[in-house]
This record gives sequence, C-alpha cells and structure tokens, in this order.
Amino acid sequence: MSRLLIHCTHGQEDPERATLAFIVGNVAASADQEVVLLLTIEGVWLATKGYAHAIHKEGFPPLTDVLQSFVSNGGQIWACGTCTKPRGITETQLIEGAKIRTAANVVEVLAQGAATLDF
Amino acid sequence: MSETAAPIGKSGPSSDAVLEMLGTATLSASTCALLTPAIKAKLRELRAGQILEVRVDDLTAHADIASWCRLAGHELVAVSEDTPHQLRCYIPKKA
Repeated sequence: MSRLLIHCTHGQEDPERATLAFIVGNVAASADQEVVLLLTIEGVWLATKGYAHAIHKEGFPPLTDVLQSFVSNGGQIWACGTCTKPRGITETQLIEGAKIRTAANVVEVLAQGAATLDF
Repeated sequence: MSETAAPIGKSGPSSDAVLEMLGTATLSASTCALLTPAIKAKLRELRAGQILEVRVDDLTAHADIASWCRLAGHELVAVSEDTPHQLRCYIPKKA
C-alpha cells in the first residue's frame, strides 16, 4: 500500500482549504490508508497547539474535531521544516501527532510513489 | 477499479448496532466529512462479524459508504430503502 500525501498550504486565512485537507485526510485514515498531511507555508501553523481552535468554516465541522479524529485514526502530520523555521515554530509548540520534516523526507515519500492531493 | 455499489433491496439482515446519520442532507459538507469516520468509530465498538446498520438520508451516502468499504476492506453486504431518500446500509466488521 503506497502512502497518500495530502498537502495544505493554508491556515486561518483560508478556513475552507485548511479544513478540507483534514477532512480528506481523515476519511483516508479512517479507511486504514497510510496518510500524511503535509503542511507548508501558512499551513504549518495548523500543527501548532491552540491554532486550529479558531478555525470553523460555516457548513463544515470544526477543524479541531477533524484534526483530532485524523490523529486518532493514525494519520501523520508533517510540518515543513523550511516553513516552520522562519516563523519561529519549534517541535515543543507542535500538537500531538505532528512532527517537523524536511524536504528530503517529502521527496523520499514522493519517489516511493505516494499519491498527492493539494489544498 | 470497481465503482459499483450494492443494489438497493427492500430489507437487510438483522444488525448488532445502529448508526444514525439523518438530517445530513441539509449540511453541505457533513456526509462527505463525517459519515465514514463515524462508521469507523462505531465499528471499533463491535466484534468481528457483528453487523453495523447505518441509516442515512443523503443521496451521496450510498456511493460514499461503498467506496469507503472497498478501501477499508469491509463488505457492504446489503442496502435497503425505508423511503425514497432514507437508506439502511449493512456492514459486518471485518476479522
């Protein structure tokens, strides 16, 4: 089974994209797929404690609920190291299930055949 | 890749647990966002072989559940119709 890599570049400035990435990721994780939510650019804030609480797009479930379900279903959250560093985000600020990962980590997964979807 | 879903019949097998996801048709994202993770959570409460009955009233739910079952390795053994817009989907928990 190859991995699924869901890529999100948005945070509070685009609640719909931020939430939808985790909705798709959560459906994949709940179907026992190996899934990584890759957060880059403003999306890396989603991996930090407390940030997602403020995100609730009308007609969507609260992002915090989806995010917690995603992690409990076995989904992994990768925050781009190149994007966390200039924003001052460190490992100690991350939510449970999230890790800082490098470009090489991402390229390795892609080279192994991961399917991707971008938000 | 097969995209066929179980045909809709008049009745289904007896179930061991029920998950109701009714009223979701009025919330645009709810079925897509919540239904299959909720099925996953409910199946965790069952033993292998026990049957979960999922009651839905969103027209997209039948295909959504069928697709999720193929991915997760569960079998959608039957689908029955209560009313034209209300279905019962039967999923035994896999071993």
